[in-house]
Amino acid sequence: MGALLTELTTVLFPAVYVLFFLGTLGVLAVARRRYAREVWLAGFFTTLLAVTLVGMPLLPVVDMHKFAQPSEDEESYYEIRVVDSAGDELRVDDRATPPVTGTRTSTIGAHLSEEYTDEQRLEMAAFYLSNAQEYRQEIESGDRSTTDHLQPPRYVDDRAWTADELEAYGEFEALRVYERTVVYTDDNTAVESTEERPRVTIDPTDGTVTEHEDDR
Amino acid sequence: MSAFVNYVADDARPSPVNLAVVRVLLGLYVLWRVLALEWGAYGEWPDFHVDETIGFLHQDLFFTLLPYQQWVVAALLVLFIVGYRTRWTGGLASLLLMHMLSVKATIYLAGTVESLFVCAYLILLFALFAEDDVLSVDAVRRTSDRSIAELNAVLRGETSRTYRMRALKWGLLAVAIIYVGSAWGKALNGPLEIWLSGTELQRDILFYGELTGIDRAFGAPLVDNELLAWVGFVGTALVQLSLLVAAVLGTSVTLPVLGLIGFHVAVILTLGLYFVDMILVLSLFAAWDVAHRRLATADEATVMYDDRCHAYARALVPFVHLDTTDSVRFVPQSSAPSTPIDRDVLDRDAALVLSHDGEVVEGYEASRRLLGRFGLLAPVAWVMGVSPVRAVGTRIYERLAPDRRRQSPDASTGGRH
Repeated sequence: MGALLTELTTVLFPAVYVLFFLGTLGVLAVARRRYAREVWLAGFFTTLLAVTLVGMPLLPVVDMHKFAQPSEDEESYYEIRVVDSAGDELRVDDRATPPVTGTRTSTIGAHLSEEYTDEQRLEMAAFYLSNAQEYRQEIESGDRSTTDHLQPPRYVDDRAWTADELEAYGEFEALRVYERTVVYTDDNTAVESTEERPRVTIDPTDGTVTEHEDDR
Repeated sequence: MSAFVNYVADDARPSPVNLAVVRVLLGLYVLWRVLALEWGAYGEWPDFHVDETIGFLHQDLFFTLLPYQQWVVAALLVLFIVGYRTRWTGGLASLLLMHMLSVKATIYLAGTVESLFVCAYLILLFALFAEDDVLSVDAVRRTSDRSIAELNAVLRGETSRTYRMRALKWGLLAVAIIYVGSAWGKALNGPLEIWLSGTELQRDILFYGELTGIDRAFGAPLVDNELLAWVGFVGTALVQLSLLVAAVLGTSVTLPVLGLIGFHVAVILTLGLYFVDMILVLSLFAAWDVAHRRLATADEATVMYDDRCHAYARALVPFVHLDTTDSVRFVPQSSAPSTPIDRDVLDRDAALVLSHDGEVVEGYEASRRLLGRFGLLAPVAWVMGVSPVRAVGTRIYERLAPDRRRQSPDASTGGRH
């Protein structure tokens, strides 16, 4: 079933995508003809309803199933941190690597821990570190603050790095991924504990990947 | 009158203001977003970091084009905002933007992007129903085909005054369906029990506090009080459903829209700045025309204009559409002697004379005062009164305005200038 679905989507997704753009251009060209717009509306709303019911975007038609996954007694997420020459760690600021934000960063953390090959880990770590370094320079030189004022609100108002905070850190050298588990109290009024364990450290400078599986 | 309009039930309004306001607000907002997004950065991600289901969109060429397409979309949006060739400027801006967002989605389809998709659908609907929009450059361009007699009839208020807003009708329906999806998603994925307690929301607030590293003070009461959390959770689903129900049943959508805005504000206070764009999308369905009416000057004014000049009559037509309170009487100069009118007005030679409250002004100042009478345009009138703008404006006006003293006799037969 899964394979069939994948087969289907590899054909269906591009087909719908191309058809949407060509069809819309055509309808725009003959918009004032009888039924042209009605046909477009029927096609668009059928797709929108289907996408909304199934909960899977069929680009360029999207759904907004949000916070839709039910929660468990305890939940895990992955946190990516940069590590400086002295071994001090700092959680990544997603502003350095647009367009991702918290939940997506967590998914990348999971991939880095479990899915990617060492080669991919090193490439991703190098990407993160160079972006972090560039972003850091923008903060330290003060360039960032002027442009940030003109920006529309971010999708998530997560905490941003500050120049003061960065002063304590040396050159960023490696990336470390933690798996963090949040355990709720029985009545769900508080977080009982947050447990974190390092999963992997990736150092693109010397090309080493260290899995921390045994630290458990 | 309702604060928000159920266009699904009735897409006709007595004033065209809403369509124009939405076009400008929507266009400006999307322009801001498009210029602010870092399109150049998305192609730098390692290639293996891709959503495979839409892998066909992950092409180097697409990523290379993004920073250039950004400026093309921006230029098209500027034209869309003023309503110039809306069918194609809006249509192409929307399609290009959807493509750019789809390419971006191979890296991450964040909430901001989904809201921008909704904005793109709305722009596309404006393009499809472009002829509904009468307060636009296109509408002024269209008047060039109409005879001076037809234009004078419009100015004398002899034509019907209902305006269809089909873009907003279908736009409201699309937004309402998308919100139903937010509630439906929880029913689809979750076990039935999640609806019976506040657990889900309590945990979400605690979890996102950890994930974003920010403690939200307003989240505390919901976390501490399960009943409150339950009301929040179930209430969210109810308001998300209510918009479609109200829209389709033809009742007022004011409460559902206010409920949804309240829900978004609650999310921002308790979970974080998610979906802030949707507040703007919802506000597009506000009854801007009611505000426009309330802000407009109610006391009467008389405008005497040169009705032999085609260009003049064309320039005044938008004001007729803006004059929702019918407070301006447009008097053609040729019929002025037979109309009871101020002696002062008649004595003037200018092509445009405005008489209001015993005061008579002409030319540039008359056009400025005329604009200033219409609530939402008062800021424009204010800017026109600032001295450098006034100096330049007066010069331009004198260039363009036909001078009655210099007019040839044959102008009276309806010749164009």
